[in-house]
Amino acid sequence: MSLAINFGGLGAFPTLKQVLGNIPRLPVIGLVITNKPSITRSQELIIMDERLEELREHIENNGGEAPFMIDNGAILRAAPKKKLSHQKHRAKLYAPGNKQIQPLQNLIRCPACGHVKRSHVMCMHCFHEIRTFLKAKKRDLGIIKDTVNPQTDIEPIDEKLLYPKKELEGEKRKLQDRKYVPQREQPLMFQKGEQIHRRKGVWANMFRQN
Amino acid sequence: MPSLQKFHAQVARHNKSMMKNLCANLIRNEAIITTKSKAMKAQAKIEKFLHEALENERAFNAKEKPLDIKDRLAINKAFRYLQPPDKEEVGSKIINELSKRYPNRKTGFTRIIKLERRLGDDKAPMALIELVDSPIEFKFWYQAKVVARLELQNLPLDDLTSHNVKKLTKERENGEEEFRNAVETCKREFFKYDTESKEFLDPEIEEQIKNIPTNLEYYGGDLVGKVLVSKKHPTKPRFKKEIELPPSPFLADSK
Repeated sequence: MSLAINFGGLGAFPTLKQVLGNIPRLPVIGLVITNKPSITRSQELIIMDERLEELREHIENNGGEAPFMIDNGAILRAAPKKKLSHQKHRAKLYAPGNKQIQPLQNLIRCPACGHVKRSHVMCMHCFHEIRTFLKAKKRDLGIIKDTVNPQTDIEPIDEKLLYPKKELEGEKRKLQDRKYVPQREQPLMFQKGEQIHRRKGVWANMFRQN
Repeated sequence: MPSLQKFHAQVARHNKSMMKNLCANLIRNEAIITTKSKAMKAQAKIEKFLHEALENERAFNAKEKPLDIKDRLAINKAFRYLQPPDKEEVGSKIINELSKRYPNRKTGFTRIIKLERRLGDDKAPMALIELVDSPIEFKFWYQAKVVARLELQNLPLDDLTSHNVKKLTKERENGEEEFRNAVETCKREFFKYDTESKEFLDPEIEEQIKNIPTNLEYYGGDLVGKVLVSKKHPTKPRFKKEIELPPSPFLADSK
């Protein structure tokens, strides 16, 4: 429950102080959206909303109390009417047996690099290393043929003038870094005691090390 | 805007052309990374195609007058499986290169290696499908890396790796020499090891190499040559009794 109230987009207006002084703070459920006023817009263009004046009159007549429902710049979201019972809550989470992610049991030491890998599956750390190595080898054998563009020698200033549409805009230039492509994490080095046995559990494994 | 689902895996017509394209591209590129199910489906088609094409090729070679490449491409019925634009490029590669690489092989031209799942929303299990005994063989280089690591750790080979090495170098031309060279390049490329000064250029890799396997009985210990033997329940070869049967009374020679 947040107690913040925000009148979106009307912070710069002078008559707001009068309005704010009269409205008591209401408890609000949900997200608060802040609509910051744009700097370029001049104050002359801002017109007082009719609804705000109506609100002020309403509050004055009502003895300083706010009306029942007002959207205080917040989104009111659907909320559950009743609390979930203990049984239903636990049934939802734990009744389907496959829902919990089990620790992997088939982890072994990769003989080529010593990192952790799944058995019967190639080590991806080695795979990426070998693939980059073989790609260079493919070029030597002539399986990959690189085509050379005829106009690669042009200076960047000339290229701007000749092909103005080739220069990418701000967001498209960011996409060239390809940060949206998910990268695989480097695996840890394999150590024998770290693997958790399913039957014996975590505790048994910890005692065994001691 | 073109629709995203143009090419359906369920439609038989689409599926056939997909298999043909995979077949042509595998022969062109020597190795392909696809999903596991596609690789396993395509493997059967590729094996059948290569078997027929190479069998026909051997029959042409046995004749008195060897044919030209153009005639062979036209006569060989197996090449009808390929898409028409791929026929000349892929067919000529089979005639020139693959027939020399596989002089006696009838099956097992390809190999599937399982990879980790794809990173993304799909999470599809991926696989690598490659031609056996090619100059760019992933398993060959992986085993070379394994041997290089063991040599840097001053450990002898265990049974499984020596078995794998034997399988990889058996059918290959100058296999053992090539493998020996590959091990030396692996030391330089992947482990940053200078063979002349015998020092590691990267200190991180030097620490990683200290991670030695725990079951050292298999690496030059007591359990060499006993990969399949159980340690808990050691079995002995069955004792054979030699029993002399008495001569039968019904035969004439016995009397």
